[in-house]
Amino acid sequence: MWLIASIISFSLALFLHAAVCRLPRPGNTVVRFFIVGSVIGCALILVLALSYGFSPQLAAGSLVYAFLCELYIFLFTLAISSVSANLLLNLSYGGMTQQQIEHKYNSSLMVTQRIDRMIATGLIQETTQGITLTARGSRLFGFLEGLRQFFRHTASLD
Amino acid sequence: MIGKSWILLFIAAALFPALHLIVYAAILRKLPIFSREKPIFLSHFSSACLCSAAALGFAFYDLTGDSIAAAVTVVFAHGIYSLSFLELWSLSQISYSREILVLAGQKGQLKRSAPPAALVQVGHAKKAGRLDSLLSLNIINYQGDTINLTPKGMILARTLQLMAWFANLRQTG
Repeated sequence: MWLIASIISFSLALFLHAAVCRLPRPGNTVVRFFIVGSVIGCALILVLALSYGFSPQLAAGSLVYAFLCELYIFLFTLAISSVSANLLLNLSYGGMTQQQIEHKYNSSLMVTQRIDRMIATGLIQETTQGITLTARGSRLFGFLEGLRQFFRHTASLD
Repeated sequence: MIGKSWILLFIAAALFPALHLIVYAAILRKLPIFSREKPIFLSHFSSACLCSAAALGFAFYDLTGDSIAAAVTVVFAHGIYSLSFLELWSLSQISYSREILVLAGQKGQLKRSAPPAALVQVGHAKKAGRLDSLLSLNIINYQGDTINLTPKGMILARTLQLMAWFANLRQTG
């Protein structure tokens, strides 16, 4: 029963997220799912706690739900930002030659598109001095640098 | 056989990922081979398989609803840990976004209308490896000079399309 409750809750979160993402108001897709997923997650925990008390079933149901939510976030953020994912989506409509791929995935154009997306999400801003970091972008950069040091990624433009 | 065996499994749910992280931080990340995606993924995959086998074996030995639920807790706790780890690992690799943040932090280095050549080079470097990776994973194949998706690639593409539909994504990549 706890497994069924988790799967039903995740399905509900998916469809609610789909509905919320179609509202005319602007908003970050990931944040929207955090809100929707959290509300449904809390409801699931409450239902499981009332049914099973503090028990393995409560933990199992909650973790199954959390895993499915994280997997969904991973997949749609991959679809948003990954060039490989975009390539797969285009190839699903039909084959492409190497030349067509080179033309479509022109590096200069992709950089400009990424800059536009990062301006839209508030990580960077366009000023008279060129493009600069926002406070939010600064915090993200600090976090990424911490991760790079932990994982010992050495490749860089520097 | 063992009363409250699920308590032991709960402890395992926390210990197994913690142990993996400690081993990675102390030993694995210092080895050059673990700077690549495939070995990192395999280390998590093998850890998850071992953890799952142990948990499920224990659960089926003491076959109760509680022990099965606890085994599932262990398996999915490791799943969440591995997925989070791999996301953070790939997020911190060289990428357009990270390099844009670097240049934006150096005032005057980045203008929207004229991205620096070094940034465009990121794209070239990633492009060179991308098709090779997709080919080696049997996601694409060549038919003459045309690149197509394999059946495995098509399943992946359809999954991404479904996720993009739910999230109402109009622009990807």
